[in-house]
Amino acid sequence: MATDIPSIACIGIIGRNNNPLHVSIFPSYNPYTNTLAPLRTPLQFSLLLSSTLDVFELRARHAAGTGTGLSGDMGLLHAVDERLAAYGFETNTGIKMVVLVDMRGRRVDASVLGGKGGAGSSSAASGSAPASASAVNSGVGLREAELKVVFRAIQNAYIRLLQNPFFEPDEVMEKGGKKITSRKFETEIRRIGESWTPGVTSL
Amino acid sequence: MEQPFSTSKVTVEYYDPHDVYKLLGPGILPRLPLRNLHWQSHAGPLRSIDVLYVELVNASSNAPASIASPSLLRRSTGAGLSDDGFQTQPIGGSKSASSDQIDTPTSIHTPTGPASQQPGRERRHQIPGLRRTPYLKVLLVRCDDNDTYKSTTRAEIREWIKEHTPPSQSTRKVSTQENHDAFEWLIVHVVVPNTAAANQPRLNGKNADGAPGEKSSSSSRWRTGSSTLLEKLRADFNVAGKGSGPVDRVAQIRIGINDVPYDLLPRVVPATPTGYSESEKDAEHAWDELIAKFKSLILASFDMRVTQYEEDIREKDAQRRLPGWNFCTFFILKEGLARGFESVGLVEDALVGYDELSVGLDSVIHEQVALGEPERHGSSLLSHTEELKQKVARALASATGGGAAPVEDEEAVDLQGESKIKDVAPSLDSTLDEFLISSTRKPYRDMIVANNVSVFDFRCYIFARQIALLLRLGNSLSAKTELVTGPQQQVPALKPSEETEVLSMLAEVCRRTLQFIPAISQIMRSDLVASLGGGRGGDNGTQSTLSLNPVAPEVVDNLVSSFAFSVAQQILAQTSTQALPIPASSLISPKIDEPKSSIPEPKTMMHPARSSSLHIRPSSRPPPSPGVFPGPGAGSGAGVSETSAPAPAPPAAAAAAAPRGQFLKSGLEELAARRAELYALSRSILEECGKKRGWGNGWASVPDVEESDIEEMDMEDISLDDDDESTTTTSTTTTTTATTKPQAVEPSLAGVESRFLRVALDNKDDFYRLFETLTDKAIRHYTVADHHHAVQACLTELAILKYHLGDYGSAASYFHRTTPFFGENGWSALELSMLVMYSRCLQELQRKDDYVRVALKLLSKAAVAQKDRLSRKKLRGFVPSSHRQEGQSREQQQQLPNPDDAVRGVLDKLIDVTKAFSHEVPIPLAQFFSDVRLEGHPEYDLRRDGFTLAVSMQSLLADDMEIDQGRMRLVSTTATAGATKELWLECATAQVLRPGRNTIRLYSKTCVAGRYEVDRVSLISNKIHMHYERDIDSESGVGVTSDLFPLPHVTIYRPAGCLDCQLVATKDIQLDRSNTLDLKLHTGWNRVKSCDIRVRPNTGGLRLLTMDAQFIGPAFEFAQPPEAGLFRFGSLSAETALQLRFPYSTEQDVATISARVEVTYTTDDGTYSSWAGPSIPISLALGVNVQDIFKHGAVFSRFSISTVSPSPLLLFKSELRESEVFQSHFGSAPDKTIMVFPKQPASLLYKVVRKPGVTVNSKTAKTLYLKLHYSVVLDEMVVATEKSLKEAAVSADLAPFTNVLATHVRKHLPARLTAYDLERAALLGQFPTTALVGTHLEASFAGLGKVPGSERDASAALAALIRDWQRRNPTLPLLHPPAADVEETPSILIPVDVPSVPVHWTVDIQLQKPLFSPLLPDGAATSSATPVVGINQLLSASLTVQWTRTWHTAAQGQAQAPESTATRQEFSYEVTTPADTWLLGGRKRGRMTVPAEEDTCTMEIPLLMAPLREGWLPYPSVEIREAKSDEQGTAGSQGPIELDYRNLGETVRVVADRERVTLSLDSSGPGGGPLVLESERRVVDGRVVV
Repeated sequence: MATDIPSIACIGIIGRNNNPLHVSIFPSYNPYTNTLAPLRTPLQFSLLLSSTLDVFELRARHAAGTGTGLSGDMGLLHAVDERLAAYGFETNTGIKMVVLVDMRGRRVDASVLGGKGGAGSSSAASGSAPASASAVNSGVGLREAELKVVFRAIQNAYIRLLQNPFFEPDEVMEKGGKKITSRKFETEIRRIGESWTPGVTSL
Repeated sequence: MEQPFSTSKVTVEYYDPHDVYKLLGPGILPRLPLRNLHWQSHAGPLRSIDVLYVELVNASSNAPASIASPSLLRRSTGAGLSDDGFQTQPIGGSKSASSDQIDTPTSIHTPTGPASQQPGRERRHQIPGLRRTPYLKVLLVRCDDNDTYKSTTRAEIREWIKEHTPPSQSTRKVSTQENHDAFEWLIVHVVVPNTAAANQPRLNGKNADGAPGEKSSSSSRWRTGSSTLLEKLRADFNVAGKGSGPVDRVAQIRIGINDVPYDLLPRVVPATPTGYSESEKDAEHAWDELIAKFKSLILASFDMRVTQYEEDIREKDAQRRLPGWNFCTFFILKEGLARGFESVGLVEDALVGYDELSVGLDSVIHEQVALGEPERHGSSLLSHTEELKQKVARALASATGGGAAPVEDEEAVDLQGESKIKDVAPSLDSTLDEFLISSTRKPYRDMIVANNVSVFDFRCYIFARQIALLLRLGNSLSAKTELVTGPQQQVPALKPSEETEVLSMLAEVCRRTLQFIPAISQIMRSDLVASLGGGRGGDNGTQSTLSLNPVAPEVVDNLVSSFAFSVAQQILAQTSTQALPIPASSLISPKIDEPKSSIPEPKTMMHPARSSSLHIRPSSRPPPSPGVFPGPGAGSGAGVSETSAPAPAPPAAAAAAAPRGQFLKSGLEELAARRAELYALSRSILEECGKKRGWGNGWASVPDVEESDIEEMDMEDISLDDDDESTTTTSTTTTTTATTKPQAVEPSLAGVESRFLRVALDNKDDFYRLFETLTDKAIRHYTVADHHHAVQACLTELAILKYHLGDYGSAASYFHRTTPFFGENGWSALELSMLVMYSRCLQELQRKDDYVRVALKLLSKAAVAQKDRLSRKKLRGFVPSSHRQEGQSREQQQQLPNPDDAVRGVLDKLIDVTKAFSHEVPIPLAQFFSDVRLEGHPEYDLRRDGFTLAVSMQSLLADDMEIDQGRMRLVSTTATAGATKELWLECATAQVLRPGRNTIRLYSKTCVAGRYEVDRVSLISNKIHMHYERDIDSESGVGVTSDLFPLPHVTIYRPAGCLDCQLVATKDIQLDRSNTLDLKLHTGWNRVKSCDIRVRPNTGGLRLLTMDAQFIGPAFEFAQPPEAGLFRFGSLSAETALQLRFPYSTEQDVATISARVEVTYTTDDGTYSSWAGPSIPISLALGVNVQDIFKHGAVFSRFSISTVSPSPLLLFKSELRESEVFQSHFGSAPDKTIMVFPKQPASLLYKVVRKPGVTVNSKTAKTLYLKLHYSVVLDEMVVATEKSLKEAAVSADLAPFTNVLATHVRKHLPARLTAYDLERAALLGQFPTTALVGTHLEASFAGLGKVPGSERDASAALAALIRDWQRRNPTLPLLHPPAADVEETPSILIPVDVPSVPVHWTVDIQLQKPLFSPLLPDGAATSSATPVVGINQLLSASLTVQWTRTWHTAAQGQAQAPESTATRQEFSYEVTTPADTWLLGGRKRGRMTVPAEEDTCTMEIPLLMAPLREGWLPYPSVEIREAKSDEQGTAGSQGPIELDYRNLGETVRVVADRERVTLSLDSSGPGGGPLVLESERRVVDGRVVV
């Protein structure tokens, strides 16, 4: 018996001027066709990413007013529908990271562990999905803290990108700027998006 | 079983054995709810409870009022009525929405039945907090007099106390569990008027002191009588408490006589009236006292309960790790505390309790799942919900069985529709079929207690409780309704401030919902799956249909979606508030409403106008909500509007909301945003459902122009359509196997329980309508919330939907708004796709102007995207080199995966559309082309004067583009001010620019040497004009990396052999004529058919007298007579040289003049043009000074010739040309060239003699001309270098560059030579050539390109040539022209005037010979030039004065009248001498007359001279002055006179003529000198000595 666990559907990195720097889209499992396909078109993902920006602004304003929220973690930005939810993080330089999580993006075969229902699970994708993956499935829901590790990994990737002396941040930062074209960065983001499952502690 | 009760009120039980409550009630109810309570929590700070709602319950009958209708009577009107006039226990349906029913579902429908309750204490439940117990028990006592009291009442009260004593009061042994139900008690003595008790005062002052429990304040007030009933009561029942002292548990209320119904009023007045009557003030005071007791006692019992609860919870919490610990029990316990808080109005604390519980549930579930040992806790949560299981079973049955109509099916599944849950608004009754989130929907608490609850239900319950609390906090309409449905007397007591909602709390509700829905969906899904799969427990016989039935997953999906949708709608309904102003139609442009007006909008599916219309007629047109949508669509639905329930948002209220919304309430934005998100969420769910039915929202057909990174991965593009098909085929097979219905193509609706959703999914139109409505709602809310991005995103969704549906007009207007927004922010992928759709819309709409604009934008954006793509590829090495040529660009194009299909064809359409335009459409070149640059170097045609420049550009377009015309402008960077020098290059033929790299060759027939940069490029294709203009400002900005002409510079030269046209200063200068310029034309290899030369001055004040032009050398014919500044020639054969000379004049002296020469000439190949703007130095190279010395017969002219420049001059030949009057003579010419150095001028002396017999008149040319042939050494050097270099160049096959070399030499050589170098070169006759070889040799020739006919780089070749040449010619001789060629050197012709001297005098003093010289012994006369005479020797001399008019060459009659020229002139002479030098005799002074007609005359005047001292004495001087004649005073002078004094410088040596001198040698002479003692003069014969 198989259960669905959350997976990352899309990672978007948005610049200080609300310009997209990078968008990576990850396929979700489709039980009907038994295939992996992105849940939506890239354009729809772009639109979703774009509409989260308001929340960032709101939170930033709020944080500025109250002096809280220094961590940059924005938590749940937006529940798109019952499947998709957007979580956000903002660095202190205004780089916004949005992760769209598909609550049923990946299917693991629970029967591997001997018919314990949703209790046991082994992730086909990562092989390391701990029990919390199925806990999500069983009703606890995805906690915002689960995504902290993702954001940390993305931020690390971005920092590594910035450390590249050939990367020109200004080119990216200015309004209507270019997108990040570093292949290494893209690979890293892709790796993060593919390897994350709820409960992993390091990426 | 318990009675349902409200969790938000405090229960007070009263015992009314004497049936006096009806007397007391009217007085007590208006004083409720209790206000301003202060509870000192033992743990926390002082808590204030503003309002405490109290529910009075009759303990004996328990629900006396529930049977009665809730007639609401005021105290004033209540008198005389048989029933008590208030509602004590409002269990009626009107308030059951929030009341907790722990009952079977059937009993919910009959909640008003009075449950039998046994009197006395009930058994305590094992789990505390489950029941509802009173906080306060009140015994109402009627005791009319002391006797009765003593006899019966006291015993009764004691009995009651015994029966109902709170455990804390009676005995301490009772388990602490009892404290969960702790209560206090109170005795209220109701005094009926006209009784003895009524006549008593309250307290007797005397006894007051003795009473231990009474208050001193009250004791002082009542003074009379013995102990009263009150005192007795107090004395009897106020038991002293242990720690806190006695508690007064007795209160007395006297009922006014007017308040007692007549039939109850005792008729018998007591015999001993004391005359006491109570005043109004006293009564009021008594009431206050009672209320205060209520408060303190309630708080006391509450405090006790809380303490107990907290203790228990701590205890239970500590046991958490123990096996057998049951979360459900813990939950109930903790919830009891939370409910307690809620009861007393501490809603926040209650909410915190529930939040903690929620987290607790999370962790429990987590552990349960993680460990897989639910048994450890002795309990487990069910993995599935029975109800859901039934539901899914039914849905499956309906889907597979196909027989049951969905609606009936739903009726059968009686989940929520039949319950009589009331809506938030009373008028919206019975419409709520889907209030899924409610704590009363199921007997949750019973299920929890029974450990029979599923995760799903558990979560739902907690969430419902949280929401309910939040709503109460938020003071929402629903929560308020609940609170006031009971005793409506409390309504007026509500403070005005409480009537407004706390928006931030409502927003919190929404926020929690947004988190809840995904979570609960997940839970529900697994729940469903579990129930389908038979569940974990395996107790159910239902076999797993999940794997067998292919419809099952879909049914599950439907159920979950429907549930989520319903929850969202419910929360939207509950959080709707009038305080949230939602703009009506500002978002929608009017034209969108046009199609809408014909389609009824399903607005009523939205809250607040959730009406029963859907329920009743699911397929009917839903009426629009009048309040929310007062748009044009409202009219169409007016007919059915009676079914809509306008109560929550009546039109007036909605209208009133608009002005109220102008000030921002706190939380308003938040709430709006959350609600908008809920709407968006609903829409997403709808969208997903629709997708399964193939009703796309248009995204599937959206062209994705931007490549995403996906394509780099090996991921095949599975479009969503395929998805749908597969889904539908699945269901098709399913349904066809099950049923034979043809409509089986559609996926099943089974499981879709939300009625909105069901209706919307019923058919396509409704689906889109609902979709649109939800989006629209979201937009409005987002607008209020100021969420721009979200608004735009929603607008985009709408636009795409409209586009998908073919409503191009609306779509266009939406696109119009959204496209720029995303474009500005860099969402280029979105923008591009939208532009594609936008342009198609416009195309459909035939809006050409807009179409052109949008299509251009689209193309340019697509180009930008393409550019990005290219650069990324390049970055990754996919495109190795950009220097590929045409053929490779194709290949490269194939290499690229082409995402431009969407854009393809747009260009052609655009060109088509613009063809009809009357104006050109300008587009910056950069939008369509990137990497535009000059390819290579200019190429020069052989034997023609034009050149070609290749421009290479990367076309970013998806289509081929045909260019009709291409032009490029070059602007000279070396242009001097005033003259803009530009070259236009043109494209020869039409060209097709393909995607990828293209090269355009541009040809120019104008060829002017110089450095240029690309200034402007324009490519024209029909009406589309792509242009590029170089930004002058950006030139300095190095950091700006433009890929358009990154190196715009181009060097152009004229190859040798071109037509050459020069304008130089004539090398022969004649100073007294106007200067001339030479125009030299050399046709080179051109066979010129016609040629126009236009000469224009560039220097201010310069006038070119071209009309006076004449040919030098062979004469040619003008094709037309020359006009001003224009010469036209006919055909000229090749290699023809012609030279024209024309004068010019300048207004002021300038060193250089500048003129512009333009040559336009036609050959067989076409018309060429060229120009030059030379700067011509016209300053003289040498300066000449002349000094004239007049003699009687000749004038000696001395010319001093100096150089003006630092460079030495070579003077080859000089000549003074004689004139008609004068003749010049020169000595023998020097055999060498004269060299003139800057500090060493040359001097030439000429003798000028007047020609005899020439009469001077005005016509006579008197001027002599000095002609000098010279050359400047520097020029010599330049010429020599040029010549030598040219020869070297020709021999090195670099002949075309001779012009370049010459220019180079001319430019660099003078600059690098110092004055010393020049002087040295002049002296040595040769000069070193090292000056020409600089370090930047290559750089100065850069940009020339290749050597024609070879692959050599011209600059390198030229540099090598110069170096080589310099090595072979370290020095070059100065080329002195041979004698025959002297004439070829530059010459200057200087007019020399001999000044006119009217009278020239020659004065001579001659000593008469022989002279006797004292030095000669014989006294013979000396023949030496200097006569020697003795001192005092008398000399006779003759003064010869000679005058001549020979030099009077002023033209007679020219200036003066003829008679005056011949005037006589009188002169005087005077011989003067210093007095100690000569002694003069004779006529020292005299007067002479010069007659007019005579030419010359000589006079002799004898003089006698005697020298007076020894030495060399000069002759006496003679002065001649013009004398003023008295009679002819007017004659005046005729100019200066020249005096040639011949004796000037002559001396006479005078010696002493002593023969013998005797001196004394001592110094006794005068002045210490020798003393002349004796001297003897020598005597010479013939000498006269004075």
